[in-house]
Order: sequence, then structure tokens, then C-alpha cells
Amino acid sequence: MSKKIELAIYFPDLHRLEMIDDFLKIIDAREIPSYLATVMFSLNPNNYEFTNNLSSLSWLQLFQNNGMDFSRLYFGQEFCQNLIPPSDEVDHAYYFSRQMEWDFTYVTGGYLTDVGIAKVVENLTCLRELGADDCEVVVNDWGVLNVIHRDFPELKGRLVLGRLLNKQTRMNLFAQPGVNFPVHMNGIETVEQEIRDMQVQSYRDVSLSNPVYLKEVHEWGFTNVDFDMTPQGIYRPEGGWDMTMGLYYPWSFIATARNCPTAGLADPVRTFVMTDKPCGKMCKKYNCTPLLIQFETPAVQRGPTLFTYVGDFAEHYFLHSPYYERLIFEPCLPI
Amino acid sequence: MFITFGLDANDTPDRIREYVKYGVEEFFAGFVPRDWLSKYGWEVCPNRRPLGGGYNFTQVSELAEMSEAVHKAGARLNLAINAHDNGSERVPYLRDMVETMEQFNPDGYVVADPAIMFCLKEWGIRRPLHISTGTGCFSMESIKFFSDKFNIRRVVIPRKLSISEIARIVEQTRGMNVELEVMIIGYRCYFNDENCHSIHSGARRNLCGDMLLAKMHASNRFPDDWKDVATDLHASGIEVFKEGTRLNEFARHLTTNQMTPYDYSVDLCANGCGVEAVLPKTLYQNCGLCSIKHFRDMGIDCLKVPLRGATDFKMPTLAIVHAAMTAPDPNPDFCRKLINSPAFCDARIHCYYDVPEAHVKRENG
Repeated sequence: MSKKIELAIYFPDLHRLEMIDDFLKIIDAREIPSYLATVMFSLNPNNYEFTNNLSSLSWLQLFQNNGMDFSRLYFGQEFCQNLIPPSDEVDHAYYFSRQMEWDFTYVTGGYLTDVGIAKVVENLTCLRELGADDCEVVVNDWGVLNVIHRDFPELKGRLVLGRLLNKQTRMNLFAQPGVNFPVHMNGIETVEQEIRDMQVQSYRDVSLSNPVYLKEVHEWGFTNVDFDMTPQGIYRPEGGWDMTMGLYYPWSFIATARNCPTAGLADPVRTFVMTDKPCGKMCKKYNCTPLLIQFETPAVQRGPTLFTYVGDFAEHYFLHSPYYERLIFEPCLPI
Repeated sequence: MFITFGLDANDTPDRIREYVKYGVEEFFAGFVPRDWLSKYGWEVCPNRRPLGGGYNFTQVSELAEMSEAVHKAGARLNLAINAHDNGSERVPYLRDMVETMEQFNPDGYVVADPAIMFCLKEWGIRRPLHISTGTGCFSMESIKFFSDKFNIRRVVIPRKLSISEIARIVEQTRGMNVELEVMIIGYRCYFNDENCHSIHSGARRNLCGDMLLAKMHASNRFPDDWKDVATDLHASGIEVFKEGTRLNEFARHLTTNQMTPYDYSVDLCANGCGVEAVLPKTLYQNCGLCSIKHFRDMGIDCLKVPLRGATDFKMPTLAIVHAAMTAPDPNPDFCRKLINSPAFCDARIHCYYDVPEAHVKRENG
């Protein structure tokens, strides 16, 4: 941690931003008597969110003890266009960041229809009207990038390539320490371990390292790129793509969708397919998580997105990888 | 409207001629050369069919034979190189693959990763591109983003859009000289294709299959003040195990108004009517026949039948899609007769798209 790393905090909506003190409150889980822990944190995967908040805060404390503190607010919704915060929330969040003397990053979502893009445009317009000349925008959708290039050219040079456009393979579900993940060897004469090693190496590599593509990414106005932490790590070449690199912690997503089992609690059809009916936003009240017992790394589903806690391997990034410039702390699941 | 159809190494020139009789005007295929396989294995796949040999071509000679057969049958052949992400080390292998394929005059390339789209341009490939569903074009704006930069012949519309959202894209892209393709049957993906970053393998269970088998657990989220509850209770000691305490209120909050998630494992009983649901469920997995009329009416150009690797399922599946596509009025009753399994059709988990009128009669009794 010798290198200067920017610490950002990420909230998907105003309600949770307003609870920032609660989210950052540290309580020592080891101090809670087991009988209370049994009642509160029963073996329900939906509760991992809360227990893992406590674990991640202990790492945050370590960062803060080393002189780092939050200097940037990430705000916005990546995973569901029904939950994109309205412009008055963006307005409040921006002023909050000003009051805290933090920089501001507006996070836009992925897989947006034109309806979703229109909401993003409203928020970008709001930020322009607020005179947020230095605010960054995380781009997670090609349509949003098209709109920015056409209608918000001033954002060029302040764009962040988001984790939904930056397609990393997530090995998380097969990353049981000390156990080799299975490999399909049918018709292959290479030694199995060689294939496995080569696959891991391949999963570390990303399209951004392709110079033909990187040139375009620069021309599009991206100066930053955000990644999820993955067990296999990330191969970042010398020069670091000439971009600032951010890492989300402690939640990485593995997969996401528009169909949503949590929305399906109220309207089962939404579990599988998209409908034109408005969403009941059941995720505001419930978590609905699959019990994936065959996978070692516990997963938690919020809304349409399957997240995994990166605690088991984040330490490696923190202690041995001085190659990122920003840590984006997620005090809650960002949906 | 026509069909684009997945080919694999088990297909033969005779089969290709048969497919063409059933409305297939275009094929797509994946190629995994031996040197790629020896280095990366099946799981790191250039075309998102990483499950083993039955899904791809691995020999240049097979590819040559297939290409010739497709063109002789008067159809087109596109090479799928639609992995989401292609690390820089793999790019030279992809270039070799494309150069090999170029010998056989492919009609286009199906691509998901913008990095590869730019590489194709850099390599001097001028053939039309099909933007794969793996790119994630959910809007007219995203289609414009790519059509401004590349020679785009077609956009494969992502599966997770409603029919009216698709209609809106069709309407907005009129005049852009871009064909639109939709998936219609078979592999549907539990998550959005373009944003599922799990690893698929023929040697182990995969996330999407497990999602369909897993028991879903729904519960209330913790109250906002849960940390205060924990610290207060700690201070209060064992006295909290009583009615009226904060612990009891906390526990009550978690159990109040609990909801039951959809149970995927429910057995679908045909009650003696038609074939049992498990048969079409195995054969088709997900079915969008009832939406074909909507797609045809709105002007969708192409239906994708993606059955690479499912050799035995190809003809029966293609036959019903062709029957619906060419019927004058392929309404839900007509499509249900093609499937002949009311139990399968009544369970909306099997639907590719939401077609409310396909379920009105049953739900109204």
C-alpha cells in the first residue's frame, strides 16, 4: 500500500447514501454472542450481504489507518434500469459530494433500452446544469456511449470504462483453494495441468490489452477503467493501458440479467422473461438468492444480479498488487 | 423472414440440403483449430460453445466440405467468433483462424467483442459483420454506435427484451440498412448472455443449469438499523429472548410477509393430454413459436435456431419453427398444436418471450 490509491465509496441510490454512517459503522462480529448471531445471521445466503459488510469494514479500517480516506463518491445504478435514480437524487448526491469535498462519479447502467438511456440523458443533463464540470461518468452500455459522444462531448476525457463493458471472466465459482477446477479433456493430448494453467493465464488477459482496441478506447475518451476482483487476477501490461484502474470491493458480480427472480416474487413471469408491466421493485424489500451448494464461493443475488464476496482473494490485490489506482468500496450490494 | 441455423461437425452435405428445404437460408458455425485446442482446451472458446467436440469444427477439411455444401445448396455461411472477451495473447490465433476461413469465402462473421471487430478491420476483412447477442445491443443508440463504425449487415437482438421493446427497435432502425435477427427456440440463458461471465465446461456443472435446479431462497432484507440492534442486544444479555424485545422485533421483521419464489423443479403433469411436458422441455428447452407472428408482422428479418451440438434435435426443432414461420396465421392455438403438450406450453418458464395472449384462455379458465 505504498502507492497513493484513491478511495471511492459507491452508493446506488440516495436512500442508501443517506445511510452512509450506518453502513460504515464498525461492530466487531466476534463480540456478538453466538446465540444472537444464530438469530440474526442464520444460515441464509441472503444474509451474507450483512455479515460481509462487517468483514469488509475491517479492511477499510486498515486503509484508513494508513492515511487513506474517501475522496470520491460513485453514485448510480449499473444493473437495473428500473432503479436508475431520478435526477433530483443525482442532484442531492452531487451536492453531498461537494459538501464532503469529494470528487463525483456518475455510474450509468448496462443493457439499457432507449427508455433507460433517456433516464441517463436526464441525469447527465442535470449534472451539466449543475455545472459539474469535473464529474466522471462510468459507461456500461454502448448506446450510452453513443449518446455521450453525440450530445455530451464535454465528457470526453472523463469517461470510465465500466465493469459491464469490460468483460472479464469470473472464475469465482470454481476457485476453491487447493482444488483444481475440472477441465474437459476430450480429444486433447496436452497435459491437463498445462491446459488448466493456460486457461487461468487466458482468463487474466482482457480485450483492453489488444492494442488495436485500446487505441479506439482512448479515442472514445476513456481515461479510466474499472474491474471486479477475480480469483485469477488481472494481467495489466506495463504502462497500464495508459488508464487509471479501479477495483470494486467487496462485491464482484458474476452474471446479471433483465429477467429477475426477485421481481418474480410479485409477478412470476418476470422470473424468466421481460414483460411490459411496471416492476414491483421487490428488491427494495427482499433478497432472493439461489442455494448453489455445489459452488464453494457463496453467491448472493440482489434483484437480477448474482454477486460474490471477494474477501477470500482481495488480500492478494491489497498486499501484492500495486497496480491499481482506485479502490471503489461497496458498503452494500449496489442494487 | 428466413432461418439462420447452427452447423457443427456432425452435420453432412445431405443434412444441409434438408435444412435448406425447411427455410434455412443461412448457416453459422464455429471453428476451433487443433493448435488452439492444444493450448487452451475447450473452455476458452472463440465462439461460446465451449462444451466439446460436437459443437464446433476442428478440422479445416471438414470446414471446407461444409462451406462448399452450404454454398452449393444456395445458402450462406457465417463464421462465429463471438467470444465476449479475447485477451491479446489469443488474437494471433484468431487471425490465423480468420485467414483459414477466408479461403472458403464466408459470407460474414458473427462477432461480439468490439476488439475483434476492430481487428477484422485492421486485417483487411471487409465482409459484413453480424453483431452477436453477446455484444448487447438493447437500443437503437447501441445499434447506431456499431453501424457507424463497421460494415454491419445484421444485429442479433438480445433475448431479454419484451416484444414491444423489440418492435420499438425495429421501428427506429428502419432506413438504417441493418437486418434484425431474434432467437426463437433452444438455449435461452438464465442470465443475459452478454453479461454472464461464468465459465462453461463440458466437464462440470454450469451456472445456468444450476440456477434452474437451485432452490431459491427469498427473505426480507435486514432493517436499516440492524447494527444498532446487534450492539444493543449484546448489551442486554440473555433477557432479549422474550416477546416485545428488539430481538423479537428483528426476527419478526425477517419473517413478516415472506414470499415464495417460483419453483423451477415443479413437475408438470399433462393429465393425459398431449405429450408429457418433460419431453418438449428436453427437446426444445425454451420455445418462442407464439411470438413468430409478432416478429413477422413487425418486420424481423431472421429467426435464429441455435442448435450447434444437438444433432438429433435439429430436424424436429427446425420443422416446427418452419411450420410456424410459414403458416398464414401462426396464432398461439396453432403453435400449441405443433408442440402438442399443453402442460409444457402452460408453464411460462418455457417461454422465450412474453406473449400474454398465449396464456389468456387457460388463466381465465
